[in-house]
Amino acid sequence: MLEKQESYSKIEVLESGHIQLRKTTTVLDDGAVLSQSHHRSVVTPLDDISHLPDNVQAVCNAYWTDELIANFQSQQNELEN
Amino acid sequence: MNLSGTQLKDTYGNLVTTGTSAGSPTEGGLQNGDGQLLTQVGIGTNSPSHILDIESANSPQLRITDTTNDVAFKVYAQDADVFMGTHSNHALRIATNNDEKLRIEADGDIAFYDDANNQGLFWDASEAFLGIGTVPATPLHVNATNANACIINVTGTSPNYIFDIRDDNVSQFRVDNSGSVGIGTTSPANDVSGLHIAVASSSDQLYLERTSSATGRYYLGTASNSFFIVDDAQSAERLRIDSSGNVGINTDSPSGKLEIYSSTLNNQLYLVSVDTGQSAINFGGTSAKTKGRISYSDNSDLMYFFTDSQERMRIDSSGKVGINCTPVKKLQVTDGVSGDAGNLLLVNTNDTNGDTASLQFSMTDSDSFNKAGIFFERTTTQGRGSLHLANNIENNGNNVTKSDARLTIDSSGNVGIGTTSPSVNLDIEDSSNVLVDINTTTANANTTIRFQEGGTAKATIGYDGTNNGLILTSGGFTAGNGIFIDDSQNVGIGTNSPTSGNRLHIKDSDAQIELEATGSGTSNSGFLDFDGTSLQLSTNRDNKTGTFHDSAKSHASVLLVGSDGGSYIRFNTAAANNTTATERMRILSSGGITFNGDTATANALDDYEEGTHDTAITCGTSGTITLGGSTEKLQYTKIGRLVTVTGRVAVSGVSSPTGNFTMSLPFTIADLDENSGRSTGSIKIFNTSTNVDNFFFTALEGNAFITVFKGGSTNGTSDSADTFSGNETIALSITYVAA
Repeated sequence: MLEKQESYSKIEVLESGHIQLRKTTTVLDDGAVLSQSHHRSVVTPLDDISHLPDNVQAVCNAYWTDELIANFQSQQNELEN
Repeated sequence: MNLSGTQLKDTYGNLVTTGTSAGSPTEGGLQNGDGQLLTQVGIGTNSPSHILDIESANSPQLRITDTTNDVAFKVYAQDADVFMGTHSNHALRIATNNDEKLRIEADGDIAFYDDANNQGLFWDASEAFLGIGTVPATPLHVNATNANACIINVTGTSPNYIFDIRDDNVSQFRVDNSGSVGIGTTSPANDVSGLHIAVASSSDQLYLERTSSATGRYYLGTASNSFFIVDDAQSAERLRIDSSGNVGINTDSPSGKLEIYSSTLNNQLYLVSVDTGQSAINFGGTSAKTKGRISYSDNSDLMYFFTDSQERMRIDSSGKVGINCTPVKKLQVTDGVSGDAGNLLLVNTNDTNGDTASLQFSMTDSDSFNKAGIFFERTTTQGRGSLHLANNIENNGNNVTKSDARLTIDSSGNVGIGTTSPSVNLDIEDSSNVLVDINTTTANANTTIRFQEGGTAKATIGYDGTNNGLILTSGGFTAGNGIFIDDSQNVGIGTNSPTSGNRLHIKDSDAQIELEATGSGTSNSGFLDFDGTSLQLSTNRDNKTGTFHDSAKSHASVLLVGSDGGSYIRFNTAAANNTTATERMRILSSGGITFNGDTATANALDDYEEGTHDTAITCGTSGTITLGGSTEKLQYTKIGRLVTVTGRVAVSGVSSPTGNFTMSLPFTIADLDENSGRSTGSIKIFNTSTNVDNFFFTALEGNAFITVFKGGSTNGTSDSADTFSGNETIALSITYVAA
């Protein structure tokens, strides 16, 4: 039986505040892996992450402290300038 | 008669007595003239010398007559004889002590009376019969009324026989004075004492017969120096002693000293003792007559067989047969010699290849269902052959044969199981999977097969009962040595406890596996070696010795090094033969790949990834640019830290876009020294209100997006979003260093 599974196989936390997410889609046939593909995205402390799974949100929210958010905002302002 | 006072004399002077004086004779008695009784009277003599002395020159007689009964008794002398008897037809009786002791009847019969006035001896004159204790009915008739009734006692020694019965004065029965009895011979004591019967020609020389009831008649005889006993009533000879001294019972031609024949199917000989006694047949020579013996003890119910005066075999009361022993089984053969006892020998004298001498086993005594046997089959010269242990497994009554052999020892000493022609010392053949089953009933015991050379153990195969596994080892059994296969099929070499789940576990101070390949003109090996830290897979070169096995081949190796604190994998190759391979690539403990001996983590290639990214466009000032749901993906490839993003996306709509716009990236851009992390790339935007080439973008460190600008300005910061109307497509390519 074919089965499709999606999971965030990597949650990479960067010092800058970015969190790089790798969502891996695996297609299985009776448990055997037929294919596997990666899809990447990056979220920042300024992004809306409500669409992400709870476990990812938990990591993000745990990492994104107010201080970190403030620093990130400050860095972004510097870059824009 | 004229009687005077002194004389008594008749007229004729017949009686004259004298006296000395006139007496007065008294009445009665015979007296002389003196009145004295006469003591001697003479008749025919005047000088009697006896009380009554009768003398006459002419047959003087004395007669007494009973005139009433007309019985007359007369005693007289005549001629040269004296006669006494009756003168009438009456008996003459003689009595003593007033008892009749002798009677002679008028007819001449004579009877002597015993103390009881019975006739003890009787002579029948008319028949000339003599009876003792009876009136004779035969010439000599003895009525035995007590133990001595018929005893003839002869004393003296002359003549030399004491009893003789003759026929016409020819002796037919004689008892000589030595007590020997002869029948038909006058010299019964010729060579023997006892009874001697001699006949001229007849064989039936002594008859023994019972006639009244339970009749029988036998005769004994001799002829031609043979002796025989014949059942005359049944005309059957029962016993014969022939001229050679051979004794035959029921046979007249005994072939040996004793032959017992029976015309029936049951011929038996009895030797019977008293209860609890012993009966025996002895054999031997004249100097030792009991060297051989067959005896039976009624007391212990044992049959003994002796040779050379010693018991050799016995059969006990329960039927157990023991040879040189007291048997504890039905047959026990015991010997007590030094070396091979040779207790039992089974022989087939046919002595032809294929013939067997055998011993068989059965649960029945019908000569069927003999299901097991030991066969010795002749297969070659000198009576050599194969010894078979056979077992007939057919479900019927067939007997076992050599064809049912299960184990064979052939003439060369080879042992075959499942084959009768073993080609080696032990040859086991069968179609089943299990050929040998070695079972110990002792818990945790070791069961082994050991191989030796000159008595020295060289190898052992066995089951290690302590560690529960098969062990194959050189030398003797030593737990932990050699090859060990545990009950879960895990193989241990140098260990008797291979790690569970590991099919092969090799234990050594520097464990190495050599894989040798042989071919035409070449021989090379590959090695797998583990020294406690490094696991090395190599070709040609022995990692332990450093030697190269094939000088025409090169060396390559892979090392998996598990050092303390971190491991790595190293790949080595060599550019020439007989040269130790050098490092070409390494996977660091941190996961990166380095090359050519460079082990710095910073230089390591540490990642590779492919994937997609749904880029998002964000207007820098206001408004929106929307991508189509199926036209928003970018492809990325990340090698190490370097990310290449390519793709083409299409705008599906806009809403008052102003300012520049950004497009998100799959990885954050690295923030490197001196802005060296910044990057740009190629971007083409089609269908805008300006030239397709009139756009560029910057990728700033720390961002996860690019910022797209419209060209034409000196600082490159012109707004770009306001050129979008909703039909644009964007082609993008960027390579950058990811954070």
